[in-house]
Amino acid sequence: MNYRGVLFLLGRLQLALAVTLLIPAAFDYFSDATRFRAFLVSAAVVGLVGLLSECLFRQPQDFPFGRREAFLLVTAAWIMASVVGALPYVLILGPAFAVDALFESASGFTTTGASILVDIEAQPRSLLLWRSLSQWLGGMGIIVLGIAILPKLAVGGMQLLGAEAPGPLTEKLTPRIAQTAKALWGIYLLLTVLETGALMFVGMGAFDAVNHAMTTIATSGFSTLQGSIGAFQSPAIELVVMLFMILAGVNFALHFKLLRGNALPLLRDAELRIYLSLLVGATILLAGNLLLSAHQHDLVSALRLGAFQAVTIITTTGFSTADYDAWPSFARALLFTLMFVGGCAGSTAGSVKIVRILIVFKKLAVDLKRLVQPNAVLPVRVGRRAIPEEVVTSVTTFFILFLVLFAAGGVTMTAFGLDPVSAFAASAACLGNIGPGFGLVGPAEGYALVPGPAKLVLVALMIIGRLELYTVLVTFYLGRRAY
Amino acid sequence: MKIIIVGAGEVGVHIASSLLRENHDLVVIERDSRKVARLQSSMDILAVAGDGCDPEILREHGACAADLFFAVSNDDSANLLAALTARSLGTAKCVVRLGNPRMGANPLLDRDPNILPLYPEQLVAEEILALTRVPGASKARFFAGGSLVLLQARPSDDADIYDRPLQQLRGPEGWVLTGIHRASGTTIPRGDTVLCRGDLLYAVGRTETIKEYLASIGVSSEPTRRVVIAGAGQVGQCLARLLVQEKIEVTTIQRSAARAFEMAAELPEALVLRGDARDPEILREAGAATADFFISATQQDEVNLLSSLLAREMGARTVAALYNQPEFLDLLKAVKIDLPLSPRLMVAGVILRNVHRREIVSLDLVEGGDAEVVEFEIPAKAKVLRRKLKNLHFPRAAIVGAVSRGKQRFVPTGEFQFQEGDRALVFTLAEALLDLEKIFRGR
Repeated sequence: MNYRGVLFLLGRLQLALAVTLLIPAAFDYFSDATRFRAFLVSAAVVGLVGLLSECLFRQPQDFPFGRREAFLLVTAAWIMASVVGALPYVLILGPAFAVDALFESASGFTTTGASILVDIEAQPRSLLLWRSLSQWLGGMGIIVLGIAILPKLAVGGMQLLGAEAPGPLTEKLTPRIAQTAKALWGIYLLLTVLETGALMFVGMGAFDAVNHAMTTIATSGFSTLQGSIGAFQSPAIELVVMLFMILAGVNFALHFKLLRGNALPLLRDAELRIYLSLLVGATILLAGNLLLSAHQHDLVSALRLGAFQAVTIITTTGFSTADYDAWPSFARALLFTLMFVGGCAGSTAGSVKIVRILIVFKKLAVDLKRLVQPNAVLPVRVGRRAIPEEVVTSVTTFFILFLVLFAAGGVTMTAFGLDPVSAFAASAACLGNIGPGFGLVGPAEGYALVPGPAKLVLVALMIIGRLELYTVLVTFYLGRRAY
Repeated sequence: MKIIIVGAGEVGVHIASSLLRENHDLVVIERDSRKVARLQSSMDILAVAGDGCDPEILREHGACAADLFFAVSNDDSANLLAALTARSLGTAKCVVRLGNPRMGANPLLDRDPNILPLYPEQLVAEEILALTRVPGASKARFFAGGSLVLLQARPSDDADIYDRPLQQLRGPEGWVLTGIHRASGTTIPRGDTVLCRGDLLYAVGRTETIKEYLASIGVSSEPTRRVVIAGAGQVGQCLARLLVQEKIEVTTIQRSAARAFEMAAELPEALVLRGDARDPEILREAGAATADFFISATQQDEVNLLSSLLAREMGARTVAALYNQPEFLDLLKAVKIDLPLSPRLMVAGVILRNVHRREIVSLDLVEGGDAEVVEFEIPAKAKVLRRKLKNLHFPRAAIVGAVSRGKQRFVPTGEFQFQEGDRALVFTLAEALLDLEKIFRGR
């Protein structure tokens, strides 16, 4: 294992993070001019550490960098980013908030969107910007960004991308890995700019528009308002945000091909079809339940609320326009179940992802058929494409592992005194990078009341979930030899 | 004509022996020197050991002035390169055998109409597909856009067609009995011919009345709905693809796990089983007992023999088996497998049919090879244009089966008169070929 190489590249990423910390610093300097020192100090500290590790662990041009190093680097990078991102919160909110700061920062980078801030509007705008910015960086992935801008990272690029990118089948869009990373960030940036424009067009202020655009496209869900999107009371804004949440939940490879003028894959994609039908189906069920319940909803408002909540949960964004924790139990149970869906593979959405669920169900059907015809060769198919046996196995394992981690996380939360609903909701919401859950951690409450050590467990769940389980878990095996 | 053949596999050898009967000068180029030695001693040709892509060898053996060039080795890339090289050197016309249809999409081929790419496996699969469409017949070939058909079929023993001269029989409308094959050889039927039990009949007629014809010779023909392919190599895979397109239910049996997965991945509509085609358990699972058409298409003749035998015992309606070694033909016939098929002979037939100056339709079609089915296009100023068919002094060893004229189809009687541009389908014994040539070419 080349630890020095990992530390060297980590140093590079720290330098890159230091540069991004300068953005809220500059914003603060030119607006309120009260908190820019906190960002400057953070940037200086990170920058120095980065420079130091660059110099100490300097590597030759083509140093050995394999699978093991890739996994370790990705896991370490996300932990490092969470810690570094917490610095401004600590400097602004005070040292007593160290654990909360780490939680908020990890929730940001992993695009979870679970928040401990109780009075968001009272926080300095530069801190809110940093919050959104961290989500935006984490949405497409700090490693993907690293590959795009740091040529050195292209060395083990494909492994790195595979270790970070969401979904079971990573697709190289262009021959050069750095071009692929640039293309992904280009689409990401384009969508963000488009949404900012659209939001400003329907009447949102520039600051809010930029922040919400960043957290929508990252499907992360931090808002600049305590009441989230619901606080705007504007159907137009809800519609724009919904549209872009849906777009962000689509495989970016499809966006890429569409921008290249090839709409065919978009029409043929089995996952996309299921994703869209799931959104429509969930909307109808939620709206129907709201209409039939004692709550006084007319058809339009039921559809409006149902659609927004369905989209925000399935894409794992975590905005809200209603306190769905107060909804009838069918709607709550449905939303809870939908937390395990996630968007399409290769999107910025978290959780299990539709293609994996599809593969697991298809595998089930195949196993049933095999009972009747024991010698039949029945590939698991997504669309017409047959999925290789190894991928099916690893997807099934992923699915089981996700449920095991969810259960373990939920049980651990109850040990810290949470009631079962809140405990399991918190576990699912953090592992799936969704954000708000139910009960104590519902959309109206946030995570402020969760005990400190429990927050650290949730931070671990968020990072494990963001890196799609295997990347983090495999690091525990890196030191061992494979027999 | 001067003809060069690259590749002396079974396809190349079969082409060589067919062309040799017509007195052409043949050069065969083959890498394997043992094959070359064997060929040299068994046929009156020039066999050369060497690479068919080597321009030096090609030039030396007259590629500059050759009329025809066959690149028929097993290697697509080598075939392509050999043909392109020969064309550049000055060969008039090249035929390239390709296994993978995508290779034929090479833009180098678009520029040159005198390079003819052929996909024999695909064409063989199409021929087998044709057989599944006419269950009951042992061979079938379609012409004139599929509206006319030549059938080879063995009438059932209790059909009401024996012991009387043909002129007293009343066959179905639009069908002509064109040939009879029995142990003594192939003959052209006359009015006084009497059919015997065990005769193999060749008849030409309209496709839409196949059922009526088969019924008249006591053969039933239910449409094929379920096909089982045991062991699918290239031909089998092509066949499975075609059957799936025809919406026929396909089950295939594959021994290798990797091939089985590949096939299942490509054809979601087909059921792929993994196992040995000789295993009765697997055959049962594949539903061989209720299959309308069973074909064993593995690479090994022994396996094909055994699995087709098993399928026949289980009750498959029509059973076909591929064979490569000629000895297996007799074995398969001895155990009464309905359709013994040699893919390599079929490939050779396909290739010859596509390049011959006459359209030879059926070199591989007529048992024993002493007769042929030839399609002639009537040129302007041909002799046949002026007189009725009965006044033509048509050779007794040949018979006109059917004529297509634009969209019209005729099964001609003595009163029929040819027009320019007609295409005549003629069943002929080998001895009458030259006479036919004179009549139809007007030379």
